[in-house]
Amino acid sequence: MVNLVIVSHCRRLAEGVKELADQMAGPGVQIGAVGGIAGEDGGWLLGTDAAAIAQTVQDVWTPAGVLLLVDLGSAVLSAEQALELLPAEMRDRCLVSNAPLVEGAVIAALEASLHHTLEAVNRAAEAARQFDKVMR
Amino acid sequence: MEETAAACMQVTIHHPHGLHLRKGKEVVQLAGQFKAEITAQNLTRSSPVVDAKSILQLMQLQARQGHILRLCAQGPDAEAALASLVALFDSSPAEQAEQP
Repeated sequence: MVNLVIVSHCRRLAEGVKELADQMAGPGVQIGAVGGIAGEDGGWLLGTDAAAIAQTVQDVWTPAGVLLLVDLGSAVLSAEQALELLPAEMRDRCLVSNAPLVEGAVIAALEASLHHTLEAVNRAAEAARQFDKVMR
Repeated sequence: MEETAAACMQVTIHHPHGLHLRKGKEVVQLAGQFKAEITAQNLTRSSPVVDAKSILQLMQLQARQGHILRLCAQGPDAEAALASLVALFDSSPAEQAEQP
């Protein structure tokens, strides 16, 4: 099964999105959450850290592939840098999704639980970009 | 290939929160077990006909409590798929105490 990594500038947001996605995923789907930068006072600052993202991908690594769902802006850059830190054979089975974070994570978790491929899971998640929340 | 007519049934949404996310998940997971093409339409809202194997499309039905959905299935196991899905929707009253 494809596994997921949730990347946000905010640690609590990443963990919250993971909580939501976990409810949609079967027991077989592993979801990692990574976000924020460790502050000097032991707290968390807003930001993304390529090394921490790479570690989280390795934590949930599976040959079926890992889909990274990111919040915005530099999270994309950090996720792409993180992939550069990984061995090529891992990097080749990782994908940074263009999906919106919340909808994308929920859909990807469900699609992954149905044993769909990395590409199919990402396609379903990215379809959320055309999704109208409110019918008018 | 032989074309057969789609089998259709109607179900009523019982849950106070309508067709919520987790129920949608159960529908997609169940529908995905069948070969048949399965569609759903919210008759109460005159919604478009959507693919019942897609969580996004199911959420677009915006189905609330009391709304009537029309489920249609076409394929070799269409009848079994419909029976299972109707049973899933009918199980809703038992989960009324559940949070969405």
